[in-house]
Amino acid sequence: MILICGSSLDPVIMFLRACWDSEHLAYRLLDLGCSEGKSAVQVDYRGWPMNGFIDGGDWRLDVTELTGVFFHSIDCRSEKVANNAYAACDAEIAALLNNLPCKVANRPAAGMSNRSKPLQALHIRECGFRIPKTLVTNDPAAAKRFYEECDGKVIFKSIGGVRSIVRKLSPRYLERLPLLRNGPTQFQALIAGDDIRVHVVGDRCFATRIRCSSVDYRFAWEEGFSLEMETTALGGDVTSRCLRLSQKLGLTFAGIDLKENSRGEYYCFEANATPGFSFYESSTCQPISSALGEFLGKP
Amino acid sequence: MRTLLHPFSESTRFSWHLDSTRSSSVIVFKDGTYLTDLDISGVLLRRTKASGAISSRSDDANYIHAEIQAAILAWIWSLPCPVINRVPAWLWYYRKPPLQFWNPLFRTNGLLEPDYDKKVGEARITNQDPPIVCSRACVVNQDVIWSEARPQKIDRYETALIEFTRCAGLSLLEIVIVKTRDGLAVKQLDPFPDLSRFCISSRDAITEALVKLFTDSNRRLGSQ
Repeated sequence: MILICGSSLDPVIMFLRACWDSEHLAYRLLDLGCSEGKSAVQVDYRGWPMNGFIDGGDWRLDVTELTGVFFHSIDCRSEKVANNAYAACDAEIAALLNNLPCKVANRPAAGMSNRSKPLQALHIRECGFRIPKTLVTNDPAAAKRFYEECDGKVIFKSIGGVRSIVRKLSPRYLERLPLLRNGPTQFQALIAGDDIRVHVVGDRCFATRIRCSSVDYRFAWEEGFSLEMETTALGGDVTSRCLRLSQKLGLTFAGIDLKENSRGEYYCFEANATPGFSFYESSTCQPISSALGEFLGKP
Repeated sequence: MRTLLHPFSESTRFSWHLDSTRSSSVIVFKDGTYLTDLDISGVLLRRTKASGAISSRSDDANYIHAEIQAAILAWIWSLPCPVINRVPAWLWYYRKPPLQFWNPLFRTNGLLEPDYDKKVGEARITNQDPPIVCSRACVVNQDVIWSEARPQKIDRYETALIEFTRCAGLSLLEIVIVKTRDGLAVKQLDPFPDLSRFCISSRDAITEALVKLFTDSNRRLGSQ
């Protein structure tokens, strides 16, 4: 039996359930959005294998029955709780997911690396990917120098896990560089080319090529840009590098952000531990949900 | 030796350049002096409530705090010198993880985890003959330094505590243990030890062990 952990109102979970329902896949939903603080987990951690049960109100599941868990906590990514993972993830649930002997996509502890993009960058380059020239600074003069060194082709974005819009460092923003004294920001050389999102499910990869003129394609429509997405093949050993990165970060399910430049070189930006895969699957019809079901459904 | 609250304070300018092959950072202080990553021979990392220069007056305080935490974590991982502790991300962000988080490591190293009573919300030891006697220790690499008296018949467990610390990716860890009939149970863990919780002689021993660890690590790095 598969367990989904998250909110029933989360669009990603709604999408996944619709797919799994159509495939008559057996699963249970532990609705974290409706728990109202009531404990739904009774587990004895002392023994091994651990024993106990999860109570979903109208169902009860022994932990030994679980083949896999899909965990998607959108609350954990909000700015409000960026520094206090427990506030939203619930210590009890996080402890359970980190200890379950079955497959978990993903264990909360494994997802923590995504809260520091430069930390992930260090792991990323160890897996053989290029990373863009990056500057993390609270020094306006250093940011200005970096801008000039990169011929004005620079983007900036958040360092941590808080979702931010990637923006080009235009002259308008240069005027605001003194605000860096309030706190650091991450600047990167702009890499021209197609965005590629790779979803890793176990040892399978699904790659989507995104063609868009916007610096941050996720907000293309809001900014008046068009967006094209299609299934794509990955060149060279990019697939094995993606698998190596997921494994290194302890992620069984990941959304890896790449960019391929005109020379066919791949740059890697980050590996999302709670990827919004429904956005890509609904456009390309790649069977990501099915692959997740297959992966988590097998012991 | 220099104590730095964090590299992003009002009095410092921090720049860290990173690309596919290189990493270099510099902290420039208010008086014009500076510290590059190569000037740093070792870091003892402590938990601080990092904030930006004017974050207390800013509506974005939470955001800035998260950004600083993310930058510090990555930067300490980028440093070529010994860092005690170069904490993994989950331990950096989970400020006080419940003991269950460590269960796989407890099991691997033959340690017992205490029963967790959710109603009370605190650790409690079961199957224990009263009175419960807790012992506090600090693991520094290969050394276990006890506060007050070293418990009796603890030899084989010291090896387990050292191995547990190593498996967690740490070289410094404060541990409170309880000897039960079934073995050694862990009651508290802190990767950012508070030396004030140790007796004076233990504090000295911990400090000496830390100095030795930094010195030995640098000697090893130098010979590579």
